[in-house]
Amino acid sequence: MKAEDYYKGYLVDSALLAKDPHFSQGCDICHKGDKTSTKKESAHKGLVCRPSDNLKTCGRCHGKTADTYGKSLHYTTIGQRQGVMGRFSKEELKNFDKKVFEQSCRSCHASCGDCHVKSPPVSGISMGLIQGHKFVKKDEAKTCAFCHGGRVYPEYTGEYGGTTDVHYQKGMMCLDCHNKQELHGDGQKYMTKQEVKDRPSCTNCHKTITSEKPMTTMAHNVHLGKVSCYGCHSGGQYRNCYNCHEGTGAKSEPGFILGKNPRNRNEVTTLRVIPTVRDSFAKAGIRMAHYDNLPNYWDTPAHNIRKRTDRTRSCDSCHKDRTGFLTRETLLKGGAKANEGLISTPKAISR
Amino acid sequence: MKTKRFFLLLLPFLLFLLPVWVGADPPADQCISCHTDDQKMKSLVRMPTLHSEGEG
Repeated sequence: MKAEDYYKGYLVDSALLAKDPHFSQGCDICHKGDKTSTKKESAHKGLVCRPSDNLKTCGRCHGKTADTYGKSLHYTTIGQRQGVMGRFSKEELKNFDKKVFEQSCRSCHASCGDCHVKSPPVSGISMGLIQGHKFVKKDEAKTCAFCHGGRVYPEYTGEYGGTTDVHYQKGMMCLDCHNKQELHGDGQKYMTKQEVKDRPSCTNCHKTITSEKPMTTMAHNVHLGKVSCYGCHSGGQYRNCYNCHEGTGAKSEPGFILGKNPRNRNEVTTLRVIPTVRDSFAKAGIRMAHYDNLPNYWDTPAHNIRKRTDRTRSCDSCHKDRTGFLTRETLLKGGAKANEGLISTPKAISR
Repeated sequence: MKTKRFFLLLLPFLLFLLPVWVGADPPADQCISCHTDDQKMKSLVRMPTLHSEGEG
């Protein structure tokens, strides 16, 4: 979007007003403010920019969805807390909750309007209304893409210059895999996305190996339970974020990392760098007493899937060249001690 | 006599002013008049400064 077009994100399409029942009671029923004032400042006094932050606003009509959504990870953002809390002492966790989680992490939560009316704010800035304040069912490029635009979305579309995901090339978008229950919540308060029932899984669609090539069948059988689908079918480099500090953010670089899954050490998978460093929360006075307990890499569902990759073409890519595998030499400098447990060395194979 | 004069004075109000007052339109929704006006919004909205990369 050009800077001079930014204002268009705040233009309401007048044609919608008569058609859509959402507008039947006037703007102020949701946005408050003073609708009789002709001056911007006084009209916006008491304005509620994001009415759906209070789920009761949408819940007046969409009660069931608002009720489950209040417990969903998109709304609670509790997954962010869960991912880092293992590094804190009890006292530090209290400090984190007060000074960082509520003020920083929680500001990233999405409410109904962030997906159905306007682009969600990134770093506090929203690109405005999706289609002139139309209430849309989905528009992934303007909603998912804005929050997940640092890594996953442009990885999926190939906008980094990396490998475009084959599913995107076939016309699939986020909601073709991530279903409504996953995004709206199913009424259960999950602590991490890994706990969520009905998460997308490759095997939901790819139930059997359809190839008639014996090598393909053999490769899948041999690696079943030992290597994740991403481990072989990630198309290559994806974005990793480094060196995050409260207030200044992180720096990103492309990379491709293979190692043991921190959640399942029996499996080799794609790993992504977690940008938390030893002094990430120093500003809040948190030194992370147990920093070394958690690794600086988590397993990641790389969104750049290809049917054929260097690893599917040749056993040597892993079993001889060990391309992409974490080694003692490539571990992050000054990283957590737990990182060492993720090193996996594929055995050489005899032919 | 006094009562009759009072009602005569009140008559114009009852005939003309009261219907206008009671039937007046509610205040117009100024939100819509600004937010649907391309030129007005162009003059009022300013692009904020971007600071850091997105996450996710």
